[in-house]
Amino acid sequence: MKNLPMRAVASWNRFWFEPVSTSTLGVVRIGFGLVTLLWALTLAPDLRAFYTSSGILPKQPSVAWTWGLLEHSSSMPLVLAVFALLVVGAVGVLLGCWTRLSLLMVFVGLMSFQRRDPWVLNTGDWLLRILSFYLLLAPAGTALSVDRYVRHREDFWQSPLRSPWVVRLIQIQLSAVYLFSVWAKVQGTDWNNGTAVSYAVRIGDFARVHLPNAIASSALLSNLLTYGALATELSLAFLVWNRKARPYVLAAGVSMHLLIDSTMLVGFFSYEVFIAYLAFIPEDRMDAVLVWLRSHVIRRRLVSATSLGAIPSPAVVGSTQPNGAEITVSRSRSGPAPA
Amino acid sequence: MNALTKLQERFEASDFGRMLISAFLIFTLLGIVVWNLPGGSAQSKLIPVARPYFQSAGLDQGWGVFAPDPRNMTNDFYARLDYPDGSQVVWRYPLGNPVLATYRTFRWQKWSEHVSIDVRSVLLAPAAQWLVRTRVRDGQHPAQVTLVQRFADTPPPGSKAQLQWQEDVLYTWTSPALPRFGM
Repeated sequence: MKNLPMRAVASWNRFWFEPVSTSTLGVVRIGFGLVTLLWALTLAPDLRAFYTSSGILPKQPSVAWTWGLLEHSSSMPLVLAVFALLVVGAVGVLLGCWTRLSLLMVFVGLMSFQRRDPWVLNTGDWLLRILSFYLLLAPAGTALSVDRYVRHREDFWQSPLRSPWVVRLIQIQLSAVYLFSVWAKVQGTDWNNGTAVSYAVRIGDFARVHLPNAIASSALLSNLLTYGALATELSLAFLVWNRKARPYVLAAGVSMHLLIDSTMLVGFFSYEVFIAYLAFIPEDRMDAVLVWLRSHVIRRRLVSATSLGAIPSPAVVGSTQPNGAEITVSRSRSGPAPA
Repeated sequence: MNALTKLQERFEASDFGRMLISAFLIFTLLGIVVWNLPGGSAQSKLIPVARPYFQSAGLDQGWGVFAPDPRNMTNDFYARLDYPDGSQVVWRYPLGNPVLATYRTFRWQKWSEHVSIDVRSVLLAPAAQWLVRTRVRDGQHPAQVTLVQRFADTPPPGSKAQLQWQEDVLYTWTSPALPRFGM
């Protein structure tokens, strides 16, 4: 009993702070950057309608403790400036270029747009905003980034070890999403009696595709999908923390969200959730994937270059990198190779 | 920025740094729980404590998607635009193709829910005024804008009943200088 507090502290430190590879964090960053970029680009046609004073909401709703660059003024030039901030930031996050600054730009851009007009958002957009804050606290540019390449070109593919507390926070946030989602659902009737999915897919204005009535209205299918959704969400709240069950739980979650995305107007919701799923890929597994990718890509290049060298082709022009390890090959349609 | 990352690394490795980060984590995790508690006296007492941090950091959240029950009604929000020359146009928010355009138009669908189902009064007048400003036809702005919610309840699963549509006029804007329509 005496050792219990010390063991608890040791467990806490091990969970949050024991250094692990930053490869998973790097992949989360890339996923987040990509989804944010696409989310931002799809805003472009509606910037004037959603965010300017001559649009559908002339002023930012006044909510305590909220802020944004468009809070006091939302002229079109200012809206465009914030849009540019968000897009440039998202590209920077995707590439891992000036990563911390890029993440700050994305955080400010997302907060500004989402607070300016909250009535055009869904819960997935909230998750994107939440992830932007968490990633701002993380050394997200440490691995798989331009920042890494600039400083450590020779060992770019090695992901340094760092405390994973932000990745753990993202994992817990995701589990909380599903836990509270299930909690909210079982307070009603339709999720308990197995009819919820049938009602959900028949909301006409929310449907991406209108399913045939035989499918949408099938009681058996509705039961299976309704209870299946609840089971999947509960698994993502609890079972996902078991390393052996994790791949299956995540696969079930991916399937569920892809089904939702294909049938309903949920925007980027599924992909925003998948960003957080990436945080559950164990770092050693991610390292192994990167090693495979690296050796597979470089080996393919070396094999291509070797086979071309063994059988000279007049249509081939090659160049060798200074270190001799990588060979880029380009083909010209006509003419012999230069001497 | 590299200096910041190195400083963070040293901070995370130190006992003091880990203590501070742990306090931050505990406060954040408790805030997530508090923010998602069902409404009640516990939440109403605790949320004011978390609100400044959560709202400022963008951590405010709610995950009751299709909860407690999915909407059992199909909504069709549209606007009738009456022009000074007597013509009428029906405006609906952009839909686009179901493959790619939905990644833009889902925002309009969310907005239409708030306008017509939640009937948030703060959205009705601006919606009508935006339509007056933007739906110019042959050089004319609409003289009257009527926001309409058309809806039908979803039959229970297995039912072969057809949708029974009803309509509610949510809001009407009429130009003071021009004739009234439909009255």
